[in-house]
Amino acid sequence: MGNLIKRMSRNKYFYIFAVLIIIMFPSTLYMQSDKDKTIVVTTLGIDYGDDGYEITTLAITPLGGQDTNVNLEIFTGSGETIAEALENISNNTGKDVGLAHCDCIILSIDIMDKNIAHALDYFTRTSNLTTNATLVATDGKSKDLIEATKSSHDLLNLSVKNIVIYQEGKSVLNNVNIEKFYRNYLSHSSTFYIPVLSTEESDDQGSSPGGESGGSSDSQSQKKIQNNNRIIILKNGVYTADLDDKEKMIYNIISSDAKQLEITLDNVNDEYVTNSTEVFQQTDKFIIPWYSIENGRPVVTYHVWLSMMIDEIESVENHSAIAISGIIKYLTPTAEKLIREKIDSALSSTIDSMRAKKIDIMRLYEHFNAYHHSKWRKYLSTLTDESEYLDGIDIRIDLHLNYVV
Amino acid sequence: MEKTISTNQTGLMLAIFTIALKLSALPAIAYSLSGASSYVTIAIALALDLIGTIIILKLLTKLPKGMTFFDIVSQTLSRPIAILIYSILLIYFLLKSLITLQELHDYYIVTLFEDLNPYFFVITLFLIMLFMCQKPFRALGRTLEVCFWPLLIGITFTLILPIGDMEIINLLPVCEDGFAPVLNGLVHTSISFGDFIILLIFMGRISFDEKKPCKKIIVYMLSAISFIFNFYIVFIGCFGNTAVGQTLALGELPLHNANPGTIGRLEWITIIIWTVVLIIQAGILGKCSCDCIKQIFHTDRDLPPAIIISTIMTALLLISYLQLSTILHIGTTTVVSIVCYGIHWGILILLIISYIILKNKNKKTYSVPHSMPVKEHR
Repeated sequence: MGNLIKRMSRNKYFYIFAVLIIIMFPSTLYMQSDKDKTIVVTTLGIDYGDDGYEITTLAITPLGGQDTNVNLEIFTGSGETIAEALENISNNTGKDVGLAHCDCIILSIDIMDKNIAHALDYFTRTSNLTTNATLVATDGKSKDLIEATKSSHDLLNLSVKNIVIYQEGKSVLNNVNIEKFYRNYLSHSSTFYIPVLSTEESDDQGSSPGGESGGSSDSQSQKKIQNNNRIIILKNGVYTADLDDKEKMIYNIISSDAKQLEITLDNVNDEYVTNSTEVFQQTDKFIIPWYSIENGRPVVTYHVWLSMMIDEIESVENHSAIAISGIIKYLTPTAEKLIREKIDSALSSTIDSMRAKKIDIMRLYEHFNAYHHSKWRKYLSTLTDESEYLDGIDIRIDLHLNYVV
Repeated sequence: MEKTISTNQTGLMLAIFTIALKLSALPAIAYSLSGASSYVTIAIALALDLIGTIIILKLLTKLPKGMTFFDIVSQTLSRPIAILIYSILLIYFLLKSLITLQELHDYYIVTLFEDLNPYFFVITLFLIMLFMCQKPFRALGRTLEVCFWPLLIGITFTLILPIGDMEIINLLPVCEDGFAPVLNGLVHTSISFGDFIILLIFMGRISFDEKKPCKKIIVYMLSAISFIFNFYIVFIGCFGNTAVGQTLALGELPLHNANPGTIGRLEWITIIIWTVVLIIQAGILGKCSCDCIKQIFHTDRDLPPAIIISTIMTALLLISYLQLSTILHIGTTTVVSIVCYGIHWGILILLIISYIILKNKNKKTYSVPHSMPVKEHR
């Protein structure tokens, strides 16, 4: 040991290191632990009323040595701006609001009557938020959804983000986050989609582990998250319309990110079933969108190779071995015809809706402008109003169905 | 005489020097100037840099060994002109080092630290710079040889992870608004380019390979250029019209990783690797500045220039603390950009003229002038 110290003391860098330690070490002795200075927000909700913004945060307050479920707390603050509302929370709690782990921002539907960009502006500029937070809407108060989130977390370890990620696999939704919103908002089509979650009261008499710590949970009536698969469209940041079931199906088919699709056929009569309802489930999908300009008219064709398997057959007359056979190809010509008719009908309805509401979810403007710039500009110059470019676009789905046993 | 650096070390230093200042603030600046065509701007600027690099390398291999840029200008033009050129280079390197250190500081406070005590940062940086400026270029080159693979893996991760979020439509059509935005970008971003200038400082110290002396360095340069170009493609493809708001591009890209979060916060690899790159870049710039002082004042001592340069860099850092946006605004003005182009290409033209003059004098033996005494350095 003595030799080691002797050797080190002959090296000049040892003295430089020692000086640095002497300078820096004392200041760290008096530093407050981060857990005492910050509340770690995981979910944040924004409501807007006459008094301005009301922010509700679901935060973890590290208490060490206890079950993590009891560390979830809800804090609210209000102010004329988002920054002021967060400052309000800090003033009431004596801690900084830490957004480094905030991965979900809930917006109440009231905010969407105005441009939501004004509510999200703070989060794009602050260095406090280091994640690309998921955006979710709620048709009630975001505070209610946060309370439901706390209950769900206590009972099932569920979070809103889990629900959204699951829904993204079943719909056109893909990476519904702040950065994606601004990317779409600043594009020509300026169309964005957000999932909407609701809450429902459940009269649960049982106690939950987190019920005692949070003052906002009612031990008799708890809120639960309710997902009705509602998706709303924002145009220029403002709520425009809901997607109906037909639109959801079509956008699901033509979206390369949607991995789950169910097609239900009613009243099927073919060689295997009579007066039955058949449910087909997607197993695989490959899609190539093709953009072209034909005779001055933009045409987009979605070439879709869709593999499906039978999921369920509902019939009062399923009393033969055929009904439970696993090797029969249930995608008969009749069933296939019904699927195509259903898709064609839904496509026609979707196109009408797109044109009427001028919503361009698939960013057709950007695609044609990118791939056929000069011809696209020429097409736009033929229109009296450029905003009605969707009226002239021919949208087709070239469907190739395949059955998987 | 200072120990020579190998072609491998030269190539690595040139590659890192080329990459360092182009991946933080420049992407957003380039997008604000050139829009979606900013990758065209970058491609043209990098191509010009490659041409400059090849010209200098070809001249370096034809000049006698041990002859520095100062020697050649002193012999062909005059010593006062050589001192003037080195004074300009000194200011140029200090300005670039200021940008590098400010980017490093801002990178730390955005990605790593909530509170960063400026005195701790500055004192530590001063000591690092003091240490690096005393060491020969060979030490820096060897450091890069050791760090090369981790650096490569780290910055490759930065490119691969966000690819799933790329949209080709953000890159097309090429030059939608014509060539004017591209020209606008080229005119205003010259301070981030012209990295071949450091080869002038390396002149006389490079131990070229016997066969194909320049090949390795050019390959390194091409790799760096290819990486930078791909970075811009991925950056603009991912962010599109929101690219102008990503003021620290390298820190923002990993956030948009389309892969599931189960593989962890991989941006930490980028953060660690990138800070190493910026510190080495600052060290190279500091060392180049020290070399300028040594040539101007005709001294071979390492410590006094290192102390002077470290002190100046620290003082500049303190004066311009948290003013990166102001510095970048000044650096991208037309006047500064034209001056930078003048420095890059004017000095290159001077080198060519000096070489031609030397060649025409038909000196059969090139003597290494006694501008610097020969002395062993450790």
